[in-house]
Amino acid sequence: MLAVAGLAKSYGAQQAVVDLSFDVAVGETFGLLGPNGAGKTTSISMICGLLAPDAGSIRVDGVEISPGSVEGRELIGYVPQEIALYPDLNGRDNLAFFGRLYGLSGAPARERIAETLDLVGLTDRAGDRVKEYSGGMQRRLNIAAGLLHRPRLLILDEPTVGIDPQSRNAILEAVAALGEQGMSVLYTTHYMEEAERLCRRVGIVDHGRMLACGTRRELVALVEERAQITVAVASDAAGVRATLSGRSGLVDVTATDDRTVVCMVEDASAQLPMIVQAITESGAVVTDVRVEEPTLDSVFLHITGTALRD
Amino acid sequence: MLLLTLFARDFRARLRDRSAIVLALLAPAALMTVLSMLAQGPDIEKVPVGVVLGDSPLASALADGPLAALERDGTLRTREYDDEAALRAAVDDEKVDAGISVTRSGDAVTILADAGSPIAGAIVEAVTRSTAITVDGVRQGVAAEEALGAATDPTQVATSVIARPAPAQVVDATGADGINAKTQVGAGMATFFLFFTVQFGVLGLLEERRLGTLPRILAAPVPRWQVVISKVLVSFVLGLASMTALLLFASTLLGATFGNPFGVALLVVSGVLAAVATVSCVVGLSRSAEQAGAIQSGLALVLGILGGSFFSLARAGGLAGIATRLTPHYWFNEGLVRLSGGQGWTHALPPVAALLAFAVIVGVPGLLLAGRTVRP
Repeated sequence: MLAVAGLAKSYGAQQAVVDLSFDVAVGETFGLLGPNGAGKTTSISMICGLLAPDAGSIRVDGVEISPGSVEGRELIGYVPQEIALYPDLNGRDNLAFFGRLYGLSGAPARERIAETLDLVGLTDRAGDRVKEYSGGMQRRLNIAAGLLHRPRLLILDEPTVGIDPQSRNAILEAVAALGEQGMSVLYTTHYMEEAERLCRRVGIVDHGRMLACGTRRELVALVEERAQITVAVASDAAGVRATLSGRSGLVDVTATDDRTVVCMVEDASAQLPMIVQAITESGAVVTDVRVEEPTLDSVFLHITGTALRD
Repeated sequence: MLLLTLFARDFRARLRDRSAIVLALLAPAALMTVLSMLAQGPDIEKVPVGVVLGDSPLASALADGPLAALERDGTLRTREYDDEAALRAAVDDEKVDAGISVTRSGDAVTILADAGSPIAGAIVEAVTRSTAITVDGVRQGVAAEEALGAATDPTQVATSVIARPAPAQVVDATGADGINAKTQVGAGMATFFLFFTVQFGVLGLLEERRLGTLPRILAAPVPRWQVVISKVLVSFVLGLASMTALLLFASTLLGATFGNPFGVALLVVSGVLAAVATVSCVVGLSRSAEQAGAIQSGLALVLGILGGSFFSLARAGGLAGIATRLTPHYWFNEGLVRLSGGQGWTHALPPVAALLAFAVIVGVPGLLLAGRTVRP
């Protein structure tokens, strides 16, 4: 759906984006993860046709996107980082205006506005002026304005910045639902947990460069860290440790006390059923299991040498 | 159609914005009303002047010349008295503010004035002295002709010379003297506030950039030029509406007379274009809506003062004389002067051309600069 190749942008001597390439498949939610100032918004501005790249190409569904042409713009739904709405207009009128820019008018527009308001949970407040909305409600309407014309590719630039956890969760659920409905989504964030929760693949960017790109598992594999499965048993942890030792996929097994066994594994999701089954077959009773896998945080730390900064 | 969509949203927003209504209509209408009332103050208009005249050449020259002209203008109201004593009594009793008494032979003139009416005294003194000098000049001319033996009837010659129209009756078309005070006030206030009113459209480019809605509009399938032109169009329509309403207000309620309607319409359209050109340039050079608003307000004030919105600098020499001719306000007023006296619309064409030239010279770079706000 989206193919970005060799994208570059400089402001004087400062390189904001350097040779950025990635693609987003139809129906895929792709995350661009990086700290503030990493070049995410500059990249998105170029992808939406707002900013002219110094080099590279952008294609959406095969259509070249450039600032000098409006071709292909209707394929994209853009949700900027700021609340890009008219505060003196009510929610419905805001959507009606932005809908008209995409050729939506009359009864189809009214119908679509009602659907979109329902999707973001603002039907009851549609007649209120936007300046009377809470921050979270404004964020939700901001997303609705980008969805109105049924874009093939939705681009969200840090849509959860500065809002309460409840609204944040509502937005993440709405984005996840859009992905499930087959919409392609490009989602930028500097929150690891959002990228992990929403995106099938994630591109890690910093200082304008794509440092790594892949599924969560592919990225975690770069770190060479092991997952840790901690099993609590009713008794005889040493016996359980002896049962598990030497099995394939288990790198290390340790009994930390009489009731706790810690297993270091290569793939937690693959090894966990085997471990539980082996312990049960040995006659021991499993009282608790806790899995700790390497996170994108540790991936980012591994790749950049620094923790993800705000 | 997208242009209309963008225009309609902006225009509705401006109509909802009370400050636009205040600057475009209420403030200029209020100021216009106050200044019009001041312009027809009783101390200046229809000063009561008593006269004792006779049949002498000087008396005839005064009566038929400046006194008649000033009475027609509504500046003076003359009242005749039988003799100087009666006139003195009238001045003392403040029945008249000033008086002119010419002896029967015309050899001497007495000027009287109430101590509380210095303006009336100054008017009759100036009128009498200038007329006496004119008559004296004629007398000397006649005497010279007689001495040379060329004139057969000196009295006839003198009377015929004096009977010619006085210079005061000549219409001076070089300044704003051709239009009355109410018209000048109406035109001055309308053009002065026009430069505040037009900022409400083009300034939207900077406001929307701050608001964040501009990137969202530019990401939509909308040609960038339409975004700029829609804002310019809002400025133009607001300016046109403001000027039309204010000139109608001045002419119907305040008694201003603007002349040929088509000529005035041409002046209004070209004047509004000149104002929109100015604000486009200001927006293109500014970083924020606040900065542009401040610059435009300052510019409106300077151009208004230089251009004669409050008092005419048309006759000023030197830099002030040049500066006033560089303002759209001056040319708008000049157009009205040329249309005064029932002249046809073609008389307004030179000022219209000057206003359009201003609009092009300032507006073309202005639009290019304003276009930078939407440039990728």
